Order: sequence, then C-alpha cells, then structure tokens
Amino acid sequence: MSLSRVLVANRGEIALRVVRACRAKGIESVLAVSEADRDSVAARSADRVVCVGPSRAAASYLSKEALVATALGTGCDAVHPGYGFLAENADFAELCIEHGLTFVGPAPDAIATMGNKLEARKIAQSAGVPIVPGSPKVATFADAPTFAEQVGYPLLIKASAGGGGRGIRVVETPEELRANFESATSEAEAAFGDGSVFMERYLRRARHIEVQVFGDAHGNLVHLGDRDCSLQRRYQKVVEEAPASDLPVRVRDALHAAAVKLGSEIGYENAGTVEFIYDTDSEEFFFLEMNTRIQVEHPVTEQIVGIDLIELQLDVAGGAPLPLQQSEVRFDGHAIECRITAEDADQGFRPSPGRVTAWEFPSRSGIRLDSHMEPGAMVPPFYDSLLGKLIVTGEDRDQAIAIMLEALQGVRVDGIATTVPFLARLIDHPAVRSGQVHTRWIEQNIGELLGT
Amino acid sequence: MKQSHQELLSLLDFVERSDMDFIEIQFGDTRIIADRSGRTVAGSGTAGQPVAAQTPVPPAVEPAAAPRPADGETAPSGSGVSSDPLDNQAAAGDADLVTVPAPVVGAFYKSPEPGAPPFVELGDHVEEGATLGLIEVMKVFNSVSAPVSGEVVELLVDNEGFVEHGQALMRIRPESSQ
Repeated sequence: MSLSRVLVANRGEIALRVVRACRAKGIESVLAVSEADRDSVAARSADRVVCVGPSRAAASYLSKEALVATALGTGCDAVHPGYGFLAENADFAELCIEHGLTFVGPAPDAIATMGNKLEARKIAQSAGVPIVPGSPKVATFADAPTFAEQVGYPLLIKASAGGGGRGIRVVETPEELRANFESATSEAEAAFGDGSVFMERYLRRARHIEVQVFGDAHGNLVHLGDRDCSLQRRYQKVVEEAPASDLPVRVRDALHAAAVKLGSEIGYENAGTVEFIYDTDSEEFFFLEMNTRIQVEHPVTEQIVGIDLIELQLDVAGGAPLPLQQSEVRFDGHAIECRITAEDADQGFRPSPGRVTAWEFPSRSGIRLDSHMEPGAMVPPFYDSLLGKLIVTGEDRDQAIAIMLEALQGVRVDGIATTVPFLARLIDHPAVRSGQVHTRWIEQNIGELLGT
Repeated sequence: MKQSHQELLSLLDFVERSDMDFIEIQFGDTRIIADRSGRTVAGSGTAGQPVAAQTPVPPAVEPAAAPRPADGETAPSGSGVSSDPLDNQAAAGDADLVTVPAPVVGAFYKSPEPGAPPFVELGDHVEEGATLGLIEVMKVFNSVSAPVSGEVVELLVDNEGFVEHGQALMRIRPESSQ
C-alpha cells in the first residue's frame, strides 16, 4: 500500500528535499510550518501548507500533538520527520502509528533502543560488534573514580540520553573528573531531561566512519557503503565524504558487516546509520551509536550509489521491498559534502541570522546544492544555522576536492555571514587533502583555518 | 487537493459562461467557492494557504450591513474566487473589526458538545474573555476567547473544520467603535 499524502514535519533544506521526493513519487505533500517559515521555499513548493504553531520550535516543530492533529486533519496517511526535531522521538513515532499514520522511519522500539546509548551498547555487544571500553551508567560522583580507573584516562563522559554532542566532556586526568562529571550531568539533565551519564575510553586521534544501512518490512537489510565524517567542530560534522578514504579492505568489509549485523539484530526498517570510531594506528574500530533516521549527510551516499534515499524511504514506508540485494549495490566515484551554515567563523562562529540578499552558486555537472535558500530569504534566529549542503562528485577523491574548491570559490552570498570562506580554507589544507585528520583536528588547527 | 490548476481554471471558465452567480464545490477536504454576485465570500473548509499578513484597510464608507468585496478579492473577470480561507484582512473594508485567530492547530467546535447550542451566533454580543469556541488537538480542548467585547459580525469557519495556527475564525466589531 503505497503512500498517498505525507505530512512533512520539518523545515529547511530537508523539508524541501522531502517535498520534492514526494512529488517525484506522485505523493502529495502537506508541509507543517511555524509562523517563521510561512514564506519559505519549502512552503511554496509543498502541495499544501499548514501553520502548526508559533516560531518557537517547542510549540511547533516539536509539538507531537499539533503535528499528528495536522496530519489527521489534512487526510495524510504518513508522516516524514526529516532529521532533528522529532525524527528520533519514539513517542512521536508511536503517536503517529496509534492514529493510523505511517511513520516514515524505523519502528518506535528501534528508535527507543538505539536512542538510549547504554542500551545500544548492549545490543552491539550481543551482536558481536566491538564497543569502546566503557562503564555502565554512573549515578553519583561517588562511583565515578572507580569506573574511571577501569575505563582509563583520557576518557569521555557522555549523557546516556545524549546526541548532538551535548553532555559530552573529555577528562584527561583524575583531578578533572569531578568538575566534568558535574557539568556533564547538569547539561544532560537540561538538554534531555535525564542526567544519567556513562564513561568511555577516549581515542585521541580517531576518525569518525559510519555505515548507511537500509532495511525493509520483509526482513531484508543492506548497507550502502561508508562515509567519513571526521571533520567536526564541537562534535558537529562539518565535511562528510563517501567512501571513507584510505581504509584497508579488511577493515572496510568488517565495518559493513558489523553495521548489517547490528541492523539485522533489531530487525531494523528504513534508513539508518551505524556510527563507528576508527583508530588509524591500531586499525581497530568501535561502535559509537546508531542514528535511526535519514542523516544530513545522506547525499554523499546517494551520489556514489545512484539511489535517492528519500524516495527509497517513502517506498519502503509504503511497504515496498528493497529494490536491490547487497550484491547489486554498486559504488562509483567519490563525493564530498560541505555544510554551509549562517555563522561567522572569524568571529568565533557567531550565528548570523538575517536576510539573504545574494545567493549564487556555481552550477555544473558534479556540483549539487541541497538548500532552501534564495535571494530575499530570511534566516530566522529560532532554528539551527544550516543554510544548505554543497555536494560534489568526482571520479576520485582528488578530483572531488578540486571541484569542491572551485565550487566554494564561486559562491557569492550577501546579507549574512556564512562558513563558505572557512570551508574553502579547510578543504585546501594539506592535511585535509591527504586525509590525515581526526575528529578533533579542526579544533586543534583552528588558527590555520581562520581568516586574517 | 487532487485538482490541478488546469482543472480549476476550466471549472471557473464553466462558471463564468453559465448563469450561475454562486457555486460551491467540495472534493475531499478542499472546498472551492466561486461567487460573482458581489457578496463577500466567507469561510471554506481548507487550510491550504498561509495567512495573509494583516494589512490596514481604509475605513468603510458604507455600513457593514451592505458588504462589498474587499480590494483584491475580485478577479478581473468578475468572478470572486475565494481560495484563501485564511484571509485575515477585515472584510468589507472595515478596519474596525477585530479578527479572532485560532490559538492552535486542530478541529474547531462551535458548541461545548454535540447538539448543544453554539457558544456564539452571528450578531451576538460577547464580553472580552468569553469563550467563542473550542479547538481540539489530540483530545485536548483549547478554548478560543474573545479578544475584545463587541458584536460577532462574521463567522469564518465551519463546525469541526480543521484550522491552522493563526487562522481567522471570526470577526468582532468592538464596542467602542459602535
């Protein structure tokens, strides 16, 4: 039973992306907007637009009741949550299903299981997927020093309900433990309503490598290759590429197998990503977490496998089996994505909302722009600062880097500050060109990446 | 929603060439009203368009009892087509009317329970803060309160109609301007 009308419960570039994928599939789209997004490009593109609440996300994009009421009131049969907001909220998925709506994503219990980092580690362990040496939940500081000694320094304190880099602390020495434990606990409490934390061995020079998986309702699950997202700033991805470069075949195969094993273990449906950290020196990898949604960086995978992942999400949610088997998945070329945000890198990455007066990007084969911006568009101060994603595809990594540099240099955005100049310096850096980076590399080399 | 732009145009063309002054067609959850009688068309059952920004309208010369189409509501052909149920502009060129917006998205109820008399009817006098209706969001009922005291001069939404956040529900002529 394929879908006929989908409520798009998100904003920005992903909302536009989902609206377009619906149109390509002959599915009607109803876009939920806040008051701040009534005039967005996505709002103009959707078949129907419903204002679900004020600008404040808590009363609009995060209001489960308003969104489900809107889906029902407009005769939708499904809800696409995009990423962020309610995309990994098991209660929202459950509420949709209770009201007869198809949730375009995995089952609520898969979201809940993987959303709890400690629970996810247990599942990984039982699936035989290596996990970073770590502690169970640490309830009070009294227990912390013992667990810390077992895990070993340096270590990470992480929120068990965590995500988006919040509630994470690096602890180098026992002396730093108490202050970091307390601040991580209170940040976790504030951000997730759950102050529980756990500890994990901290790998100093680790790469972030993730594997895209896709399951259907008929018991099939495939991987669609890997992505390297090591270029991060404050645990937020900045540049992503597919495939991960410079990976021994044995390691790559093992990563793919581990991701498929984990997904299969929980009967995972729809798009998901299994994240790993990889220690280049020891060639060891460890399970980090599983993201139970489509991800921001999905286009780099699309570019090298030639599959539209959003359309596939809609097909699979409508009950269709996966259109291909693992042996039919082909990888071709190398893709890189830069996240362009409304931030002034040279001013400490200060957010720069406002009206965009010029928005020009080079357009040619090998360059793709996923964005909801246009000249005259307003970047509201209420939401995250992502303006768009510049994606390039080349025959190999060197060619992709060359196209990306050329593309970034051809960008003209006026009215607001963007990270484009920062990204151009980043892509051109010798360490990035040679792939010798790790997840803390940007922070450790920030001085070389800022303008003078 | 299944109707294409083309189909809509041919429908309007049909109305244009007929003797009809008024036609109201409903397909699923979309209602189309075409009116060339010169009356103001108020309210239809779909929430497809964003709310128009509130723009000042010059004070009416005629009394509100004889409404005329507001500027911009009449197509050049003479067919007044209201495909925008969220028109928050005061109708009949009356700047004094106060619009009551939906405080939340959901289903609008005119009565406290099925079969009961409505909270307000056209022409009723209401006090500021009085309940004008209810909006249900997932079994939670939110009351709609009168922003001012005055006379209810327009009802814009059908009972149990789906309304979006900020959609105009009714208009009130405040006491002070009477």
